[in-house]
Amino acid sequence: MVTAVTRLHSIAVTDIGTGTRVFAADPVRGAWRRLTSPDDVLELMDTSAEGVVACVADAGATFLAPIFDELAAVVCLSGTPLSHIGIVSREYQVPCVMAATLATEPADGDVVEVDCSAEPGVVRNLS
Amino acid sequence: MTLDRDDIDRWIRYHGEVSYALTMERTALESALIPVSAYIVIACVECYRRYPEIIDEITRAAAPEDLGRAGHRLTTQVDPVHVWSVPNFFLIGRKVLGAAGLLDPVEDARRLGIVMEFWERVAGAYRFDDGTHQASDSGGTATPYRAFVEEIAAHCEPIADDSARADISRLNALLTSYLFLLWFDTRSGYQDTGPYPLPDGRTLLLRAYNRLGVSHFPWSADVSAEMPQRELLGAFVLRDSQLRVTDFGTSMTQPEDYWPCVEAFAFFDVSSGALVPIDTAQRAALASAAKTAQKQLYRKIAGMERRAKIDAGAYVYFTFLRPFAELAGVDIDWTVPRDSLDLYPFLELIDGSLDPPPGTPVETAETYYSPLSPLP
Repeated sequence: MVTAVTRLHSIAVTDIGTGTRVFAADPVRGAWRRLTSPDDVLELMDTSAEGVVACVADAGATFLAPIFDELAAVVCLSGTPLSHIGIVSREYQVPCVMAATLATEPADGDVVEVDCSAEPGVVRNLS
Repeated sequence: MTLDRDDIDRWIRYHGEVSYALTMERTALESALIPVSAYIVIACVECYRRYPEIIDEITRAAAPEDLGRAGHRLTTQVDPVHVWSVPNFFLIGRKVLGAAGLLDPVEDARRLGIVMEFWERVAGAYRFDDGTHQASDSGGTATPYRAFVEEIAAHCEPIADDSARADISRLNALLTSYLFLLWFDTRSGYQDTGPYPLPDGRTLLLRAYNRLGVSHFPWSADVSAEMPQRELLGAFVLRDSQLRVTDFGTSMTQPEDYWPCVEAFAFFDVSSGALVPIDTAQRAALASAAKTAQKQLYRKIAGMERRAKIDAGAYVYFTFLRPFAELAGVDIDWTVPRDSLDLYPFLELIDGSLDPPPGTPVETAETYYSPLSPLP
């Protein structure tokens, strides 16, 4: 679902997906990171998750628990705003997109933007 | 038993409609850290097979109405999700066993009668005998702490600036997230109630943070000892926000992010059952302790074998009846797994993140829980 490619200030901006936003929030940018196991989270817990846009498959609240407050945003591939991860993102005020569908998945480290300023929330690849 | 078969079927339909709607709102619940779906079905099979006998013990010691009214006191954990869970965990277990062809129609009706009558009496009293039984009956209202509202509101202080708002919301988020982890990805560790209307037109949201310290959860002993408060109540005064609560004890607001609408707040240590305000320094210490405990707990859970995680989560779920037993003063064997071992090898394989097999019937509110089977 590549919906748009524009060039702003020499950056290619590509909409790569949408999902249901948990709450309205201004766009945020960060480094994409697909997290699949607790070891991935522990690694970030022991280093830093500052500025990371975490992409996760499941909508449980616990998986990202120790790093949630450091994340720039969360992209969850399932669930709804009332799933546990959605509730926690609301409490942390970390922008979150639920049930996201991605046309292409960024590589770890790609700079992405999560835009929850309108419904649906949009994920853009800036790299 | 005072409920007849029509009563039982009426309550089955009622719970099916309410819980189907809640489940559709929530949808996925799997976690890459904790096998939530597997532990839920194991716990619920235990609930079906054991709750009726436990409820019999409880009701021999205490009237269900008294247990419901106990929820009007602080820290009893007779709260929306614990009241909701008693019939619903039982019904989910019934659903699993029914699908496996393991229900006896006569015994099923007897068990349903015990559980539904207990729930009906507890829930009615919890809701002040106003004719409703759950928040969903009243458009999303649950106000058990109405007697404390005046005292709570008097202690609420205005939020001075954005920095103060950030500190308060961070403390709340840390506690919420920590409790999700401590309670193995259930939302029963914290419970929202409200809306409590205030005389000045604003609305009060109350959030109970339960069992923050060492509790009957074995894993809390290693990580929660340094939490400075065991039971906490958060109070948030909202302006221009529409608030309702679900029977999971979760608030839903319009706008979705209610934090910009919070004008005043207070946190109380309610470990003693009374409201004891905590100050800025205590809040900072609590946030720091919660962050540390959360990291320790995550590492501990991440190091557990899958079976240990399932058993721990099943224990959390199965002991949702425990607050009622403690209030009644009865001693119960809470060992889990105990009565699901025949099915455990199959149930432990369940993974809710997988798509259902092709041809799986689509559930509706009407089919979410099956009615009583005809008697042979």
